[in-house]
Amino acid sequence: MKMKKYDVIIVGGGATGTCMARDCALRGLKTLLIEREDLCDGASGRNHGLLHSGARYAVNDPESARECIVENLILKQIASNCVEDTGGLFISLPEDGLDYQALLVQKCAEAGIDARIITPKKALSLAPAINPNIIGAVKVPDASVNPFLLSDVHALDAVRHGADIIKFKAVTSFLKDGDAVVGVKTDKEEYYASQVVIASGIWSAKLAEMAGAHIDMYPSKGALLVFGHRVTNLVINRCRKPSNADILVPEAVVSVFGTTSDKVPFEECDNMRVTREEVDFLLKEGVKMLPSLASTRIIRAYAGVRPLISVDSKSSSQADGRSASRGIVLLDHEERDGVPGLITITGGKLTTARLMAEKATDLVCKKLGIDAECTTAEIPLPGSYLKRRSFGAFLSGLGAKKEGTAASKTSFGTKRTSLGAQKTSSGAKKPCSTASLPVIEVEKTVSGIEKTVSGEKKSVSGAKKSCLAVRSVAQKLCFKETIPYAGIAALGRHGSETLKMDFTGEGAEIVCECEQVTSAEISYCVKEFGVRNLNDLRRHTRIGMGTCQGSHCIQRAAELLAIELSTPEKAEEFMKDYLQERWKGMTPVMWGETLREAEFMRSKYSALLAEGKMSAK
Amino acid sequence: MKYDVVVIGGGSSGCRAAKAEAAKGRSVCVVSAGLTLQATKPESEGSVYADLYELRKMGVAVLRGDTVLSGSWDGAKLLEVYTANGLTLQADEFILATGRFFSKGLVSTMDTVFEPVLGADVDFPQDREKWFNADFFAPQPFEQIGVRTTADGHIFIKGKAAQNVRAVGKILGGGRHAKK
Amino acid sequence: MQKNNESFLNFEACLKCSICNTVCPMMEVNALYPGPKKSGPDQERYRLKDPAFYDYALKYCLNCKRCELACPSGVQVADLIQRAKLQYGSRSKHPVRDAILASTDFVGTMASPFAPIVNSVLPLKPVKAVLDGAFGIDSRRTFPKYSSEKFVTWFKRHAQKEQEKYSKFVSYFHGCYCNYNYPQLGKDFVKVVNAAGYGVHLLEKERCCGVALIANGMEKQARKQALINIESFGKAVEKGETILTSSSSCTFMMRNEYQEILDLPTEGYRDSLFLACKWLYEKIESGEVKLKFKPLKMKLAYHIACHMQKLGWQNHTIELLKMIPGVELVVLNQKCCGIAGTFGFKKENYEYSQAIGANLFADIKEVAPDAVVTECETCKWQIEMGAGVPVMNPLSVIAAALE
Repeated sequence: MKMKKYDVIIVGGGATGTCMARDCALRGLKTLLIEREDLCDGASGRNHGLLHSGARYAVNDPESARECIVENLILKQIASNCVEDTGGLFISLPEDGLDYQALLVQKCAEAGIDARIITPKKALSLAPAINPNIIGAVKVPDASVNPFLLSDVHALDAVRHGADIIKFKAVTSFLKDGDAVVGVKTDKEEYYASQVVIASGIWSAKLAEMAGAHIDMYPSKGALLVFGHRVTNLVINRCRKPSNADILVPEAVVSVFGTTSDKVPFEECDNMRVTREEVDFLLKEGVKMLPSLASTRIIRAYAGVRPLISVDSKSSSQADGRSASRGIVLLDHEERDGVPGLITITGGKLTTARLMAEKATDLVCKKLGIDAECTTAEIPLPGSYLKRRSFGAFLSGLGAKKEGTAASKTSFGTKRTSLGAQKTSSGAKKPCSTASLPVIEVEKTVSGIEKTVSGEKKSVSGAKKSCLAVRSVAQKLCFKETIPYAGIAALGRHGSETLKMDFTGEGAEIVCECEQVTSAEISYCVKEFGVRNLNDLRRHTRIGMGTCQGSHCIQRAAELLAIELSTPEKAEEFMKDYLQERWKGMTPVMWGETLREAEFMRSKYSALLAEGKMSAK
Repeated sequence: MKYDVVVIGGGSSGCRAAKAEAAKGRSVCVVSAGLTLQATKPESEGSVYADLYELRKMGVAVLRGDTVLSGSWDGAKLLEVYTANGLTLQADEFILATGRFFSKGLVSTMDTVFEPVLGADVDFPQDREKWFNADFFAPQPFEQIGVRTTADGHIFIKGKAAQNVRAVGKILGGGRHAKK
Repeated sequence: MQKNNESFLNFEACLKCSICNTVCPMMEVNALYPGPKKSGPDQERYRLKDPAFYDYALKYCLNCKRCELACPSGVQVADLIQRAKLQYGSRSKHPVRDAILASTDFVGTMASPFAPIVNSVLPLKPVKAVLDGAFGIDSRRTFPKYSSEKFVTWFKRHAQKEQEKYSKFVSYFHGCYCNYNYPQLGKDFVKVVNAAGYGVHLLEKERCCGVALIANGMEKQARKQALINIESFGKAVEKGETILTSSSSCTFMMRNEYQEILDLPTEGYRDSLFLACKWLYEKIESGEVKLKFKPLKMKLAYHIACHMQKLGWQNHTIELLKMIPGVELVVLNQKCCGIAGTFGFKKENYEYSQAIGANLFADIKEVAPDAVVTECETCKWQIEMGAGVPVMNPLSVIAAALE
């Protein structure tokens, strides 16, 4: 039973909301996070997946740039399995000239961003797919981040520190005591808190209105294309004033190219479709940077909506989203609107989610009169693990038991284990400790296939036995864990949480082949995260996000999910809903191989079709 | 190699057409890209070879794992076709049974649909967004796209009806199938 | 490596229809093999991200190419797998054994002078036990016999001079089997080609085509040998001579795999290199060549080797055999025999190899032919052992039927 009285209620389970839930929980606040759908249903689940180095903002918005690089380095340490440190390039095409490049490098240096000019030849060796005619390139510490996983691990950590998370429930109204907000109401329940924080992206405006406060926001739509494989292994940016269609991000095993920025009406926010014009535009621009995109399979198109705040109420009608404020906006409604007990945190970007949460939590603590420091930058998130351990870390780890990462406060941190300290304008941050993180290795299948057809293991010679014994002792000393080969993709997603998955027997069965999702991973996610349908499951596992968009795995996945949720009769419903959802992303790019996939999908699932009478074949 | 009839495509419609022609006593060659001689039926030991058995028994030459790449014309008459494995097939009559998008009987790009083997004229909506229906479970316009034919199934090349080339099966579009 | 990260070998076109999995002979018998779809296009996307994703179970792929034939999207599944094996390394438990099995030129040259000893010693039980225990060559596997006189030696001594009485020529790539194990095949080839009115020249320099070297990860050696062969082909083409072969796997290797796996240029000779039966049939069909056959009363079962199916020329051989009066020809359904070259000799693979061929052996026994006819010599070894029926190359059948 969840208790109804909290210190703080956070409305909105995107990146900001989950980061805040963790921060509050770590500071000892009784926290509730309430989300109307699944985590990351809004912009947090529809963005570029780019962990900015800040170089993009160095020229126009140096403050943002500084924030970005600090957060970039922090997240790479504390959320290492959510972030892929790909590195990035800013390439200059002949029509871009090199003036901007010079300015960029200078401003990056001022902001503390490591930006280095490299030769076009070197750039092409790093990323052979880029336009061979580039005249310049700058290497920056951009990275690729999985926003779903990022929110997942924040949510996990929050819950493990005592926070409550309620999903699939919308806030229908605010509980008021006079002008003050004292809680929120869903369709059936009431929850009370000393402070309520709105962290709902573009929907914050509506919520604030419900509570009696006013925010001038407008939705700015961004459309993106997903290409079927990793065209490059680095983030590629265009070295010019930030504009549309100038970034390619490698993400898991696909590439995401974008984006656009068009003002759209609020009503469209819950039902975004990518138009033909947007697809044509993105492709045309993308080909300038990476010519091979012209013949690369596009598996899907999607769009998200940025929550942009008008700096003053006059500018709410601006057409172009880029000149409105994208900085972090923290609104104290007590001061601003005379509504005590309500705060809104919005704006910002995925990269600065943790910082946004810190600022908002600082304000909440101030309001509650609680003196608690923010430790979110120092403590590794669940899932963090190491591929190998440095000798210094090994020494300091000796005698220290493997505990959950939550207990690894700075007492284990030594100079040798810390991966570097960050400084912000607000002061020094303590180093992130990795001494108690597990070291995880993937078992190579070569050992698994030494068995004969009859399944008997060959007897192991005496010498070999003692070698194995020494090896396992060494592994234990280094706290080395192994997971079977079947879990290799899960390891890349969930990190050390993979150790909780059971790959024996049917667990190792691969359900989604494009993304190598096993049924062990599905079981784990259903248990940990609470999912209602395949679309939710997708967020946590990437099921159906590969080239076939589910045409292969949907049936098996639906059956498994129905069994896991103990609702076997719902398998067909899960399947139909997810097919419809995937179709939505495929139709804007339905030509070439994707059209063939569509034809295949249709003929394969024709038995399920609602209307029986059409030419299924 | 010379035959009376060459059937391009060994799916269910192509095989049916081949059997019909062979039954008339004509020499037939079927060119089938896949190993399975009936790509749309479920694979089991029996049905993979069922058509192959029957066709061989009727004396039909089967080229499995080969594709027709192009052909040579004399006006409106197709003289011979060239396969990927380097064979030249001559025939009096040709039957185009290459299927739709899945089997690459029709190929689509960002803004067009074309028939890749012989360049037959294809009817399709000009606006790409009209190729699909947003509801997955509804009939899809792309399932209706096909080559234009005369009343008795002859294809058109740049507006002119081909004298000796007929189309059967899914490539016809419009939900039509091979004539019984 | 991938050029410009384009869809290499068309892996992106994979629709996950899984038709390839249904025709894969290894998947049927071995649960440890992930199957062509996973091993090829699926995992390629992952290998691009990180080589650590390479699955060592790919060693079970036979390279039979059935997956590629079945694929409706044109994904070069088997090529993806072979290239991945070469790039990311296949760890073998017996590297010495693999090198010996794959180096056919070397072993053939060593064995040939001692052929009678080698042939009588190899089948001995204790010898087989040593080979089994120390080297991992399965003791149940029979070995082909070696010939005391290599084909090339015979040709130079007994046939070469007579060839000069012809005015038009072909070049003969004889291959290792013909040269070291069964020169009679080469003799049959010369007889048939001469009967067609052409003289036979040997290539200036010939090396093993390398198909076994590639399969065992010895890319450098394969490349070295390939370059020598390519140069010889170039010289033959300059002379205006078609290059003919008698082995389907060699032909396939040199026409296709040299380009697809080794990235070597094949344009200079590909259109002049054929299996002898394809060339012969086309010559007869065009009327240029007329052969007179005497009756050959035999029930023959034609086995289309996997690589032969990929080449797509089986109908030429079938039509040729049908021309011989008295021959009762049954075309077997195309099934993999399971040997996959050196694969079936290895202890850890032997049982899979036999399990795969079991269906084919049953089919053959049902037909009960006097002989099985096939262009592939390794199929021959497998079928002779597994079905207990003699196996002939079609050229040998044709030679026997010539007047």
